[in-house]
Amino acid sequence: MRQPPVWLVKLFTVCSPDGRDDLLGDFIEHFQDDLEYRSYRATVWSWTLYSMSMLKLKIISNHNKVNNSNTTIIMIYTYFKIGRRQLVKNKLYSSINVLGLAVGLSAFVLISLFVYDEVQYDKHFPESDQIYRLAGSYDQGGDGIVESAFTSYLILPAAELVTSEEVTYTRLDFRSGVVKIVDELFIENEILAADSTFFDVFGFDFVSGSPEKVLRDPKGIAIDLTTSKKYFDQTDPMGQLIEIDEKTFQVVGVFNDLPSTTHFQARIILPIHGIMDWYAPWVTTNLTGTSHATYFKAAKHVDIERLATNIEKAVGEKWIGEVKPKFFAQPITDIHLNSDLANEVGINGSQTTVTTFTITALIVLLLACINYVNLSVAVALDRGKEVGIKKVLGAGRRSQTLQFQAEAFLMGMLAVVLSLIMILVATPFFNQITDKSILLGLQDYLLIGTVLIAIVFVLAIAVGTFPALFLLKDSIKDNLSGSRNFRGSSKFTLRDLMVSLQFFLAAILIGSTLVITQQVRFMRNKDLGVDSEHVVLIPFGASEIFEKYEVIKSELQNMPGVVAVTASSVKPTNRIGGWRGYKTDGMEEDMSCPTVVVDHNYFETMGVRINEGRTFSKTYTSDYTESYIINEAAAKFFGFENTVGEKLAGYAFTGAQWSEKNARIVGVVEDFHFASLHNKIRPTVFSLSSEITIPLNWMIVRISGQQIPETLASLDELWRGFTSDRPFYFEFMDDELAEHYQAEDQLLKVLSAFSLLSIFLGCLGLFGLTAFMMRRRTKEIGIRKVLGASNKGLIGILSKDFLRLVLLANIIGAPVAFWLMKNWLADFAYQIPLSAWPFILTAVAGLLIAFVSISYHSLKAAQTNPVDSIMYE
Amino acid sequence: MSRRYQIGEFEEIVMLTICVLADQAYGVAIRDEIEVRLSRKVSMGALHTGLYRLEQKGLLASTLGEATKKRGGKPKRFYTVTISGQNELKDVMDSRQSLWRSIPEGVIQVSPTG
Repeated sequence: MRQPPVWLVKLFTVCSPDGRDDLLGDFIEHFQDDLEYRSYRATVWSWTLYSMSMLKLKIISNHNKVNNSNTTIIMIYTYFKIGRRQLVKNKLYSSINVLGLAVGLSAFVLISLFVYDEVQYDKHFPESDQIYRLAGSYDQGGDGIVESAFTSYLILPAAELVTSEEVTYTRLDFRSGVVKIVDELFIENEILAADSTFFDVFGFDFVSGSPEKVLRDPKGIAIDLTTSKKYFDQTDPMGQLIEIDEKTFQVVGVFNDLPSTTHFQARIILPIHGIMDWYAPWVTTNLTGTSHATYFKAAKHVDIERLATNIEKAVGEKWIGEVKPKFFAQPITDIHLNSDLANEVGINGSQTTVTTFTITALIVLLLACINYVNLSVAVALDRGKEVGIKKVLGAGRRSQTLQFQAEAFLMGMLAVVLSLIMILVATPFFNQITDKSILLGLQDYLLIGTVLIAIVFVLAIAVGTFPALFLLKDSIKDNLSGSRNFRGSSKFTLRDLMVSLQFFLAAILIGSTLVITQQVRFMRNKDLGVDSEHVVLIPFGASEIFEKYEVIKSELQNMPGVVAVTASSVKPTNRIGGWRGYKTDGMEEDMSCPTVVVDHNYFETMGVRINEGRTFSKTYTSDYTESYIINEAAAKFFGFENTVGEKLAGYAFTGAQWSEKNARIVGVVEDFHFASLHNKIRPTVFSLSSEITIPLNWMIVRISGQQIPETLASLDELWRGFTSDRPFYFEFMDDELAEHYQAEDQLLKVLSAFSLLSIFLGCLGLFGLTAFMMRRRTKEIGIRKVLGASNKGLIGILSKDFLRLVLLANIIGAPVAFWLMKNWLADFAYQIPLSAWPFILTAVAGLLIAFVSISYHSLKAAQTNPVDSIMYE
Repeated sequence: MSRRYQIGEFEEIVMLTICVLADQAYGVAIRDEIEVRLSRKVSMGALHTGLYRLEQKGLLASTLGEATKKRGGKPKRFYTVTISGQNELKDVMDSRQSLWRSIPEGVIQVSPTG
């Protein structure tokens, strides 16, 4: 005899009334009977359903039991019973109320998730509060102070000299390279070269191998799980050989992927001491260079500021230049939100965004709560008669309050359930907008659910108290005759205050969104001074390709679809560096100025206008050593009178060797932006690439707007003709530029969504409130009509009350939004002028939308036949 | 005719089946009997809800019986129709029969079975 599975027996017991063993016996007997003509599985399945059918019996018998036992339970039971009936009776208000609250709660939860994720950055490292990054502040003369996340390779030995043993340092170099596994090539952008102390500073989660061994051996590297799967699939990666940029390494450790909440990413970690020959000589000889990031972990009692000062002193002693650099330590948990230095490893988040989002989340939650309170109270006040009768029957103040609270809680719970579903559905979209990968497990939902229930519980207590307070204060006679006056006195009631508050907050959100939209559009559309469309940026990647540059260039120029070719030492979409000292005639000291090394045709390819003089030209061979081109800002910076033809003495640096470059200025180009409008245009000197300058790093190719895929394909083919070790890699310049605006884009998207949400919530509340008010004023409307009021006049009278509030809210909200936006704009180097228009627009739109949501019900009320409405009792 | 309570069709069937089964009327037997005799599916929940209600109304009485191995050592609950239950059944039959008797000759053209 096969017995039913244990879980099925349990299910049956749970579903059937307590203390009825005979039912369980019946069930087991039935089960055995069924097995005779059915498979086990089919029987189990059908009895799963049958078990549920016992629920009704359980409910009925429990109900009868309750009736005979505890009165408190009966009371609570009736609270919810009446609550359910109220919900069903007022379908419109109930659904508006539940929907509004659910939307508000979901929005609140989603933003909280975003903020939580942002705040969690780098906290996953063990003892993350003791890990710091050593950043340098380099004074370049004039207003040129560069705060850099990278410092020299030589900082670490200097620092170690002055510190006790309670501090562990490690240097990091974030690289990209070509990885070769057997015959396959991969471009890896997340390679990290580190000192052997790396894992002492950053605790990693190793799957195999041990952090003690990795990085000691100059050939020993560690890779993450994803990379391991990518390269070796199922085979054991340990001990496998990997070729990176033509150097062979051995995998001695595998670690779990770094969480996305890390300010840097590392898929392959290799020892710095194994790759020293990759570095140009200046890296290891030049204290002023900025090539490596230095991190350290310090014991709790170490005075970090003094440590930085000590390092500053030690470095200062060896410093060659006049102005010594300053050093400061950044806690790594602070980097993602609060650091915006030169050479930042990835695109960091921003504290402003996080703060704005937090405030927005709270505002949306507040709006939803106000809605909920307003609607619930309005509907509840209609129940004077019920309260009156209960009073007559002897119900106390507490039990009546409890009734309202139970109802509010019931509604709140519905909203919580709905909101959890909304969150489930909306998470993928939210991830897309915010560029996050938030995944919620069952546990997270339980936690969120608990928090939401707590919020709703508190709300329910508040919501239940209001109507009870009003209705209980009134005399029984007033309760029963329904003579409480809801409107008519022009007193500014609590409800008026809440409606105004809603629209006040909505006005701030919408006004701000409009201004931010303007600013973002302004930045996107402002002429950068260069034409970034259809420009392809290709890194040389290795010196062997740079050596063939001239050949590649001439082939490219003959290729159909290619308009122009040039190259430069820096990626044109990055912030510029390469500070060199310059001296004009009659100047005592050098003035520091960033320098960009370029190839012929640079300004033509980038679409930069020449204001004076000429561009670099092949007809003048002297251009290589005796010519500079500067931008307008530099002309002002050096204080030239005629500019073109003036002498400028500077230096050239190959990466290993300095030489003097005394030259004349041959041209002045119009100011144009590197990177984004976040930064002001700096005085910049352009020098033609030659033997004495640092090598070109980026090829810049302008292609025609037609047949882009074909052109790219032939670029790829050409590239492969020159090298087999390096896959073709390129970026579009306009895409790269757009990345700089990611933070604003994100802010804008989320804010737009939430300002829409806020006005939606406001209108939902207004819609519900008017519907309710109209019902209360049916008689008044009827009498007015009988006395000759027109439909138009009636709508005016009915809308007036609410529109007045909306107008008031906007009048107060506009200056607040104006002030907020003034502060926000102050962070931008180039900003739009702040006018009153966005705020006027907001007010007009707010009034209009409010009017539309009111007019549906007022129109309906105005059109009813007065005969019906006057005798509606 | 004023009555305190009118039993429903399903309840009538359940009570009659209990009578049919005499002293062997417990859950499984009642359900099987209805399914076999009337070829009609009855869910366990529906049956026991009915039994519970009828017992609450005093139309049925029940006693716990012996436990068998097939039932996992659980007792059977045997039902009997009380006197007031029997009165109800009789009332139903009487009213039906009086109606049948009042049908004029030739209106019902099918012949009754058995």
